[in-house]
Amino acid sequence: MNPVKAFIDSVKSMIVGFKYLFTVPRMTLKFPEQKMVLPPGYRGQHYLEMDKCTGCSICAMSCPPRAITMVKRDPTPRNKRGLFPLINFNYCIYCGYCVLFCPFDALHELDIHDLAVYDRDKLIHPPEFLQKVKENPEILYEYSGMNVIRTPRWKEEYAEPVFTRRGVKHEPIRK
Amino acid sequence: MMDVAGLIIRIVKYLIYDLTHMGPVFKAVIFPGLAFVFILAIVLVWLERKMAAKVQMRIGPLYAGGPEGILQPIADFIKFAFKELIIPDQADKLLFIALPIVSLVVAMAPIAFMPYSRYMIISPNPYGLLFAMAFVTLFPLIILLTGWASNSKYAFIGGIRAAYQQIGYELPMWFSALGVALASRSFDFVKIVESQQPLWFALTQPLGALAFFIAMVAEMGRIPFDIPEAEQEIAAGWFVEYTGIMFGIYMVSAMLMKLYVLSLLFTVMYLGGWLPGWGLPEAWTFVKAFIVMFLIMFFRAVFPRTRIKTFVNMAWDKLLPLSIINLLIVFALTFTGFYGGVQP
Ligand code: SF4
Ligand code: SF4
Repeated sequence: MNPVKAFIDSVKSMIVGFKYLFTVPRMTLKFPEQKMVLPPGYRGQHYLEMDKCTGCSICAMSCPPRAITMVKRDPTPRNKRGLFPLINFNYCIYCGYCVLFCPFDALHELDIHDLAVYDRDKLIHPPEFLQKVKENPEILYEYSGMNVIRTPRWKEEYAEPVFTRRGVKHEPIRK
Repeated sequence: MMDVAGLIIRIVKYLIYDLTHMGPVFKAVIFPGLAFVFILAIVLVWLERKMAAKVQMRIGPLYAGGPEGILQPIADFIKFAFKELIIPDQADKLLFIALPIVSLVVAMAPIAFMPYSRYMIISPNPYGLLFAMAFVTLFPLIILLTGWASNSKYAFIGGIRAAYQQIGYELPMWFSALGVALASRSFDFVKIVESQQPLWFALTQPLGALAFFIAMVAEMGRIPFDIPEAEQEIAAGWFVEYTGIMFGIYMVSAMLMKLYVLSLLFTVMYLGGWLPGWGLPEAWTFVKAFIVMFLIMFFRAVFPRTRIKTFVNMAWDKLLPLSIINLLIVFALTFTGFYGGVQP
């Protein structure tokens, strides 16, 4: 390899590095203070509509890591046997199959993804819990005991979705 | 009894006199010595991480306190201090425990001979260059020993790589240093700096400066030549078995002290040290050394790692001829009286 060309190339890459040092916008968000607006179809925490569920167990059968267990609850008019899905999020891979295969549109996924807990048992969500999550996402943090660290240090901001800036080089698209 | 009290009083009196008049204790403990170096180390760790983050479109340390998370290195240090020390069963216990401390001593020893200005030098020595270079050269041996004492595959590969790499860069480094010593006709750092009065050696011996710079980056084990500790290939290489505070000591000695010492060495040897000398001479030295350090830390953010074969080939094919040609040119120039003074 020509050493002069190699040297010039190295200097060029240094110049690019210097440019990035000051001019290019940061890609990292200061989570949890800054949040992304997530696109529709994001696969996060599940949400169950208990009055739609018929207890057909297709979700449990379709779940690849067997994260779903059917549990007994009070029967409803649609669900005579009273079987409802319980999801163990220790195993869930967020593949979305359960949502996809549910014939009665009873399972959905929300855009909640910060499911850290101190205790692994707190990741096993019974059907009543899965039902409440949509109206009141705060119960997730109360239940897991993680709401203590969620005191904001910066002004809360919402960043635009990074999905619009996809690319091989992960650079913002400049027009 | 009285004698002991008198002695203590005399020692305290001497210390007060020393510290207020920039005596040897002040130099060793405060300014070019320990305290200064450790504060600089904190700033350097933070700067390196922050800079790499900025170049890679990240944010870098932020939460640890202070402006922009500047206390992150202290937090890291506390974390290291509280971690469990694990000594592998198969390791050579004595060597395994002793080597981090030895490495810190060896890495910091050259600071004693490095001048910040004509008087700001811990141990003025007519053979300072030789001593400093000798300590610098000793470090790869410690790496090899560490790899051997850890008795682990990756550590041993790292140690062997360090030895292999040293075979490549050692000769160019010494030949370049010889050019400087020949041109200033002294091994004394003060004389070396003062003989760069009209023109820095980086300008009169550019080939030697280039060879020394590349060899120096390899000696520091920094990207692009961090072959002994190639993280993606052999985990952390030669210090993979270390945990807790011993790992922390290795990070300080191998990553920071060598960076600081060799940047200062380059500044003094090629960039004219404290010249042009007006104002605060120490500040000149520091600013130049800091720019060199910044540049070398910047390499980490932009360059990939070379393969060991490429590096050793380059060292023997390009650096060694470069430094020998430089030495011959310096030799010829001394005969023409270019470097001033009496001809040899
Ligand atoms: S998202 Fe996938 S892994 Fe998670 S519960 Fe549904 S089917 Fe199972
Ligand atoms: S959630 Fe859907 S798939 Fe699962 S048991 Fe209920 S109705 Fe069937």
